[in-house]
Amino acid sequence: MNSVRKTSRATRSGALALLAAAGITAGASAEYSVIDLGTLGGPTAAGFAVNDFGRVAGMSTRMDANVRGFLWDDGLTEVAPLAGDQQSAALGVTDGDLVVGMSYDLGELNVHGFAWQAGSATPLGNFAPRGVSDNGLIVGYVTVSDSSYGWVDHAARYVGGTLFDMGTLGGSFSYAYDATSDGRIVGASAVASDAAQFAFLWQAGAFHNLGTLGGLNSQAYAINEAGDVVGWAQTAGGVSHAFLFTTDAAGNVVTRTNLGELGGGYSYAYGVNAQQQVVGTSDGRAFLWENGAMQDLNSLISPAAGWTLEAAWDINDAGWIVGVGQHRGFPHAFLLAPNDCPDLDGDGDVDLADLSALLTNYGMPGGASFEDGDLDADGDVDIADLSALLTAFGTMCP
Amino acid sequence: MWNDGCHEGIRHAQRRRAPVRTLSAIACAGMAGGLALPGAAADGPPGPRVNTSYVVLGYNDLGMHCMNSDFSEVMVLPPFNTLHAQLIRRGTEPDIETSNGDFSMRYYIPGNTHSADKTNFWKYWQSALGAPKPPNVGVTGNGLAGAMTPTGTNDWAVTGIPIVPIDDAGKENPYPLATIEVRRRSTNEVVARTQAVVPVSTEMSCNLCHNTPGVSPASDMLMDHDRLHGTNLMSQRPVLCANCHASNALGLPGQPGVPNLSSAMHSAHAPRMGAIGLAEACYACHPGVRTNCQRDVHYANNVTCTDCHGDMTAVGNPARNPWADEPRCGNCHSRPGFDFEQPGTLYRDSKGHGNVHCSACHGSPHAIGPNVTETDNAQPIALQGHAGVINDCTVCHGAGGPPGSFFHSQDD
Repeated sequence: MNSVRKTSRATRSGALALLAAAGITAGASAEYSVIDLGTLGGPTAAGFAVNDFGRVAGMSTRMDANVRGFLWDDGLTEVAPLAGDQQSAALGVTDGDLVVGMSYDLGELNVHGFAWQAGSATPLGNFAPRGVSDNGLIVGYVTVSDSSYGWVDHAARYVGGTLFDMGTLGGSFSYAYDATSDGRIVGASAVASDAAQFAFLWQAGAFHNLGTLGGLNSQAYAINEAGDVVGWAQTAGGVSHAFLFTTDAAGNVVTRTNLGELGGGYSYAYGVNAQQQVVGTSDGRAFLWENGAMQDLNSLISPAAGWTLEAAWDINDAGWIVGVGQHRGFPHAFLLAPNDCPDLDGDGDVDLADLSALLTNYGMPGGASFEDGDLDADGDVDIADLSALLTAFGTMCP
Repeated sequence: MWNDGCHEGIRHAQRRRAPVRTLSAIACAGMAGGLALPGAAADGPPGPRVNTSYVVLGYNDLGMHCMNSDFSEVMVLPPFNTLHAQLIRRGTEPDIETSNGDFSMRYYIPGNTHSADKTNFWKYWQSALGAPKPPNVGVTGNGLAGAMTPTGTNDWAVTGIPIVPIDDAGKENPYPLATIEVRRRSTNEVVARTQAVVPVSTEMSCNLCHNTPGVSPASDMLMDHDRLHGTNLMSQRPVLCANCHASNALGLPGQPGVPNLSSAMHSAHAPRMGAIGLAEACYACHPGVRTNCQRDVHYANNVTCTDCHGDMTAVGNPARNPWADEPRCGNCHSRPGFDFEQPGTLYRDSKGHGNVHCSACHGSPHAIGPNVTETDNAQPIALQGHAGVINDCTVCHGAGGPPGSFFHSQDD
């Protein structure tokens, strides 16, 4: 995950302007505003990663039905496939807007990785990137031939122009999904005889099997700079549950937390930020786990927005969440913006205009929106809201 | 059975574009005499593996298993895939092994190991089609990995694998490769291993027509159904179409007097397809514009869906028994002294050459080698060093077997 930084004023104000243009408001009790990232012309889109400036990597269908990666920054920029390919996907983005992804045709054994920045793509060979650290360590997998198994996928890292096959925990396959700036990598690997797969933490050239929650299998999908690892693991009862494992400098697991579930008998964690906020999916609904509790993200947005948030794939250090949900009958990419800065007019700061707006509505007993000045999402505009605004008065908003 | 459609009498003119990529240009060139395909062999695993005592051949019962992308309002087809395999003891006179007491056979799909987080099937239909199934377990009780069992027809199978076309990294993959592994129970040693495609797609593009603004495609369909047929499906969501329309795919009898699902769908839509403007109208509802249900030697030679299946009106004939009344290979392929499937038996169930299933060597329906998809060619390349029909004698007869490739009829 990314280091702690603030999202830009421009992004925040632009996002809210977009919300206003789309006619979507935060709602009376919403803790997040929902931004529909749109599509590249087709009906569907998904967001996979968000950097600390609120820019999103994802993929969308086009009018010609092909799938293309995108970078969203108050609008979609298509990340084209490499020459000869029809499809692309953008799966990771750094704070410097370096996008990593894959270029491919359906049915290929080997896809083609790329690193894309400002419209220019660098081919990475037969490599499928899945994540990137803020300083450009790209991780994913490479498909290689194996005289015993046929074609197998191995976790791989791309460093300084060289691709390294990371091997496995003894089985035939492994995948790397995320990395820190100091070179720690998480993923999953099969063990001997492919009897099971386990979440791993790779550092200093060695795999650390992170184990499970008492069951047989696990996968790690994300790691923050502090070494907090999230993913899913089977419990002793055989249920797949999202986990948060903390690790020490040596790569050993210090604590194991079963994040529970929203229902449905499963949960999977896909992202974690510096504040140990974890996002993922459970029972077909996107979740946010923080301070020991899992919440349905659908309960934190306005129902009027018309979304069913199905999976949250990433969360940045400012708390912005990206994922995919059903919107007007189609899977669309969403970006959730926390309504935690009392910038009522969305101009990027907390100033007299915001104070004036709040005072205008001061005393509203119910039905108040964020823009009205209901900063604590309890429906009214009262002293608590005024206090919150005055506390932030004069500051810039992320 | 002969081994390809490249050289004998195919009665349909070539009138379709070549596939976009990979092996199309060399599809037939590699067939004659079992020639290795330039490039493909070089890119594949090193050399045929004929120095083991057993070989296992994997295949699918269908060219493509379709499923809904969203189950919140309508279910046409659940995530459901079926994988078959034949285990053959290599030798001058090979044997087909079907003893579950002597061998165990398992399957797993690296890189696609869980589905519950990739589809909302379990949220809405966990209790449908039998007893409630936990997440990642399909309607037949099987998961993304597990055991294959003998079928009683000389092969092994697993039904109802709940795989979806999204891998664990979030990337679309309609052609994931399953690993099939066979162990001798007495020693637990691995005696054979292979890879076979478990094809799956959600590319049913209902939204091409059902696109009323502000209404989901599923609701649009249900509202049309309610308006045209006096039903009240919108209030009964989520709806299982096969509750009323009999479906051989799901084994549900439907309601008396209601046409079967295939007939209803094809008949109702046949007169409405012109407005879409697709060169191949079938791809409006079947995979597809992007996903190749048909991706085999026929596709590479410009054979279209309707060339074999007939047009939508024909497929929608109420007298047709869906999934059973299917095209015959012999409708196009003819060669004196040769059958191209067993009499009265579909290709997918036919056997020949000593009870070897046709699909085991020739490929799954719609994926009869060589294919335009590299994943479908992985198995023949691994076993004999080149794509196409598995026709190298040494694959089953071992290194001591006759050299080269072969033709065969059903009985030899």
